[in-house]
Amino acid sequence: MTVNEKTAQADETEAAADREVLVEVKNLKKYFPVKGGILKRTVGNVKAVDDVSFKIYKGETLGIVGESGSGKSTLGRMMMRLIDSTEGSITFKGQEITNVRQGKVRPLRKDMQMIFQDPYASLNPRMSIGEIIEEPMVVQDLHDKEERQRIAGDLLETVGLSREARDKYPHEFSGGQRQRIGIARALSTRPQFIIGDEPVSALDVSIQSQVINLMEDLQDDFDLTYMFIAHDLSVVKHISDRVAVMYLGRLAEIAPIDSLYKEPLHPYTQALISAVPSTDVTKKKERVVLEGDLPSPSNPPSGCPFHTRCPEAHERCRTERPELTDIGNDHYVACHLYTDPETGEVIRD
Amino acid sequence: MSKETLLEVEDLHTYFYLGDKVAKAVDGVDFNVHKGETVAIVGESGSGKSITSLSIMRLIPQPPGKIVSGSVKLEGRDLLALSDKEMTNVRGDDIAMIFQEPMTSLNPVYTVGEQIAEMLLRHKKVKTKKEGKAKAVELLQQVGFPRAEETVKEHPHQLSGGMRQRVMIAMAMSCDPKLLIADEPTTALDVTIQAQILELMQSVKEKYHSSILMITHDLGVVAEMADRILVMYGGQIVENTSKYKLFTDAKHPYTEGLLASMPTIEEDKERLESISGTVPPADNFPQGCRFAPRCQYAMEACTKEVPALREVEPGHYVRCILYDENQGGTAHDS
Repeated sequence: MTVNEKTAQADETEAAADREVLVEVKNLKKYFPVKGGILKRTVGNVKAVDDVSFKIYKGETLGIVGESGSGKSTLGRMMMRLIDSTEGSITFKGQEITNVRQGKVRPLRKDMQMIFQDPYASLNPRMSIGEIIEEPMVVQDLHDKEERQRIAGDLLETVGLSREARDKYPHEFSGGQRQRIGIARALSTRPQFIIGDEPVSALDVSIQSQVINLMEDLQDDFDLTYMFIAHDLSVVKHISDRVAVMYLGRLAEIAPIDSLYKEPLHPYTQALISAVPSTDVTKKKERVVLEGDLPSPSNPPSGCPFHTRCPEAHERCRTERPELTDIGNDHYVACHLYTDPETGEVIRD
Repeated sequence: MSKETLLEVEDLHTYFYLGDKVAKAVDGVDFNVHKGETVAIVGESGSGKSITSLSIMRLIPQPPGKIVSGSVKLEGRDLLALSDKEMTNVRGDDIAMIFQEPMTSLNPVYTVGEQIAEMLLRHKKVKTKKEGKAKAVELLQQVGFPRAEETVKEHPHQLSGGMRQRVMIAMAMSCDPKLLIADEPTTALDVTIQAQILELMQSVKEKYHSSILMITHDLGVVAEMADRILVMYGGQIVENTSKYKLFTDAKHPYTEGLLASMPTIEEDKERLESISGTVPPADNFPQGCRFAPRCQYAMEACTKEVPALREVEPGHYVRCILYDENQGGTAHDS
């Protein structure tokens, strides 16, 4: 069956009409130079993020999955403007933020906050919990001191800790409690957009579910939009509305969770999903086991970055790089299997 | 149905003495591993699962740690009664171990081939270094290195995480051990690499007819690999049953909670269940059942004494008074 491109476009405009774009990333790249020789000249580039484009709609959770080295964390850091991008643009609420100078980034952070993976490394051990939560408000020059203290206390209750925790220090809390403190800190400036970089990966299963539930509740209460970066496909499936799959700095596929998990199109996504150990002991699962390791991002394969491990690779994959193509119903995939080599038309059967 | 028992752990207690505190990391653990069986110990951080495996290997740092009582028998021989020298021979020859982070278990200054050869010499599997290096190539080929001749000349930092874990498995299996203990063998690896390593472990197990004792926090990995599962909480086993029973008919409230709080790729859960509170520290366990403060079914009797691990149906052991008739347990299902 060939999906008519016009219908696909019509679908998209219809769906997009009632969705407001909060963040848009266009052709974003981050190259880290590799220096070599005695003159420390640039001898090559690690293409950590290589030409990535997508949109995040207001109120949704976009999951970003990928293995180590896929560029998912670098992407998050660029969007937070913690590191500069090499090329491309990031738009937040229609405002171009890519070229805002480092010194002027601060006001942006009021609306965008980040939650980090390691709850032990991301809280300053010398600051009390109250100071930690109040700090973003101090930096943003929000409220007077009393009001800030009141907000910090309220936020501690919101994330399930007691007000008294304000006077304690990070070492007095467990990993799960520290992650709650990190969340309270992120909420203190009343942001609209939160990037979570593996926020539950370091937590035990029973604690992980507490934090996931908390993040879901807060999304409703505070009208938050999330970008949730993780390597755990089950967690991402649970929390996200749409998921983007990254491989070697590029997007392989992006789709709503239902179609991505039920009908993954990219051979990499298919392998990734089938590699997740199944807890359903009543069924025997067919598994695609990928050969080999992730190639080095400093020397990515030509053509499709996945062709060296892809069971479906053919000649075109070795030479021509597939672009992310809309194949209808909000599902995008970067794979030659779904476009006609002659006409470039979308094929789907 | 008679299965030959390979490893028998009885009433194992391993404590850590920290100042005036005693951390009862392992507090009364009993289980068996049969020949050819894969047994998995699952639990969260601080449950005592790793200390159990280190106690079996007698690798507990002493002091502050000490195996206080109990016995660990391998084919009837009590490992805790062996001299240090005898135990050194058991490690590698009879029991081999692989760890979570293979980089810390490999020596960064020697090549992979030198390390494998050294170990083969040490365990008298080969007579000369040269012979050892030749054997190393063969071993690496068996664990799926396509260019094994070149890999033996490489240093650990030149290999990826998955490849290092393959080297560790090759080394572990080289002396044909009866038992392989794998402590979180795939936790540091990406999911596609994890699938490769799990598949490799299955195939080496079949090839060498060995048993595996696997320590992990990942219930998905357990569902893939194990024949039988031991759930640990607070230094004790709270449930011991077959894989099938555990995932279809878990009995202990902790196991139930753990399964319900885990998002899975198959089902769509609107909201995850969660177990309130946190794992108690080993130096301050609550009185009575250690899970009682977090348990939704807890009653007064739970706080009095630690329930015994009882067989509630053939081969299914649970440490919970809900399944004890003498205590007025009510949760029997027909």
